[in-house]
Amino acid sequence: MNRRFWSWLLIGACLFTTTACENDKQSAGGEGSQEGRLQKVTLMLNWFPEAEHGGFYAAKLHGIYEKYGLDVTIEPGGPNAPVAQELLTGRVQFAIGNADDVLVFREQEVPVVALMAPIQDTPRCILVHPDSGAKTLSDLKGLTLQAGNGRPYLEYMKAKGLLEGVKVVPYSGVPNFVANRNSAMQGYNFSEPLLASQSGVDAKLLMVSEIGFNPYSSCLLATEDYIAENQDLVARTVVASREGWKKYFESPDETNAAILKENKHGMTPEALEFGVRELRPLCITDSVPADEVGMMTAERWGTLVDQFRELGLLEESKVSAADVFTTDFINRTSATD
Amino acid sequence: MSPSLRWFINTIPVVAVFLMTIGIWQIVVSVYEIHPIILPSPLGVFETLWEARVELGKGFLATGLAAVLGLGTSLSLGVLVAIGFSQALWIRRAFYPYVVFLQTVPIVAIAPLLVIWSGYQLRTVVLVAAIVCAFPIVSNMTTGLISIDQNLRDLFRLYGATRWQELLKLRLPHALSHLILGLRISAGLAVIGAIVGEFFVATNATDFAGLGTLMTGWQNQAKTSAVMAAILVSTLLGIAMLTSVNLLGGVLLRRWTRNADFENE
Repeated sequence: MNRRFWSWLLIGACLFTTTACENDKQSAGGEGSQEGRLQKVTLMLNWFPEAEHGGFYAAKLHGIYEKYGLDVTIEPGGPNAPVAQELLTGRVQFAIGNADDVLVFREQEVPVVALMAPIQDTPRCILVHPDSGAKTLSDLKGLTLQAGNGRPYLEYMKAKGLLEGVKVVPYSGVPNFVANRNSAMQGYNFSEPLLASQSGVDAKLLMVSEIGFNPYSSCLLATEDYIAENQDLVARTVVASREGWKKYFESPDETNAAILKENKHGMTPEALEFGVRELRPLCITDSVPADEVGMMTAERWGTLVDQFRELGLLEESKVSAADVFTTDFINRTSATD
Repeated sequence: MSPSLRWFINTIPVVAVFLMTIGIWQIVVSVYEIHPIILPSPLGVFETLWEARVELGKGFLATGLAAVLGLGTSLSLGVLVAIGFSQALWIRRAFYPYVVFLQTVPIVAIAPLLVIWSGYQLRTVVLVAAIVCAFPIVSNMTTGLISIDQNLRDLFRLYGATRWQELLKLRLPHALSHLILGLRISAGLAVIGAIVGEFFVATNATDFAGLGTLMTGWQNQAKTSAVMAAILVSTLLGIAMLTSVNLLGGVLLRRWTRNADFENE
């Protein structure tokens, strides 16, 4: 009995050590491959594959990553996709996340950095039932709002007093929204509105960016350490991803077909077609022309960091705006070409 | 052996296992430098537990209320159903499979439907908890009501007892220990049911958030140690429920049956 116990303990310890070492090996293996061969990296998504990830899929599909010496595996995410954890353990080298996620991770002392931001204006919106009478985000009183508990935009709305008298309930999807005229739900402007209209309800869209909360979306993320140790690879990934986004907006059809194949969660060709059409004006704006897709500014990040601090979501001492993003690799584009 | 000494001897292994687990956990986290977002250290979890004690305390009460109401609902309905079952074999044959259905139904798949039917309110959470804890109660109670010693039944018949008297004076007292066994299983399930219910119903409309609501909120903010603190509190709630059932069971059994040795089983 005694001997058996100790041998099991020993086996357990051995297993633990080997797995731990294997993880180290994997995370170190990024830069180490030889000339001429493609470097394997994995990119993890923050959600099921959708139009919001289109540029990354386009870069893979059209061989742009390959052109830059990369073999990118895109790993679909989902609800509660453990993006920060996967980056930290080195199981994935890159991930997609929104700017507010970056700050949420930073508050937990996970050193992630945004490398580019394809979506300039957040697609985050509140859909309201057309019969509810609500015209702006100040008119939500008395409604039942389906929303992701604890999400920063929700905290922002709460702090602005917009949720007084609003019954906030968990996100459960379009059917509950359609069924009740006194309802509202969180959504992305290129996704839920189509589903609602397919169910016979032309929802009114109230954009969260209009009340001043506008985090970049679908940012390409990596950890500080990984970026520092793999400068060249990171630069090529950023350059290729930006080309992918340009390509996606020029001709999205093939990419959408590829996304459709990857998404096993009720995605339809119509939803993707609608998605890319609605997404385009959020990515290519007056200040960010097509050639500069993915650009970020210190001013925008600074605003978000300030907002997080005011909301008590980010401790003063933990991080400054300059730490959480870098445009080094975006600016390097011409040099690499 | 004096009771206090016995208590002491019984407690030592429990405390030892607890301390050893905490110790190994702390060592593993430190040695492998595991980031707290992946696995926080036990000290980190206790720290968060203390920082969030007000929210967690209120969550304990909110979820506890839903769990108790769910267990109570299940208990009252379950006992009635079991009494019905005990009346005739054909009733059991016809309806028992539907009770088994309650046991096998995947509650996370049913919960969104219950929300559609019953709305975003406490009632729905109670309903989820009640469904989860129904089976052990009905099943055990039915067994208790029908597994009566033939000699005792003959005795009752001999004295010309009515069906009603037989139920009240023979079957129900006999079933009590079975019922309490079922309740012990259901007490923990009720907490699980309430938390699952809160995942789908949780709302800011009630005065304070239950543990399930706190967990989803903290998960969305990547606060792993807070989620673990909430899990810890929910296990405490389960233990509190179980202990209450045990105490109640002990009192009832001592009063109504000769089986006072229940706790030593």
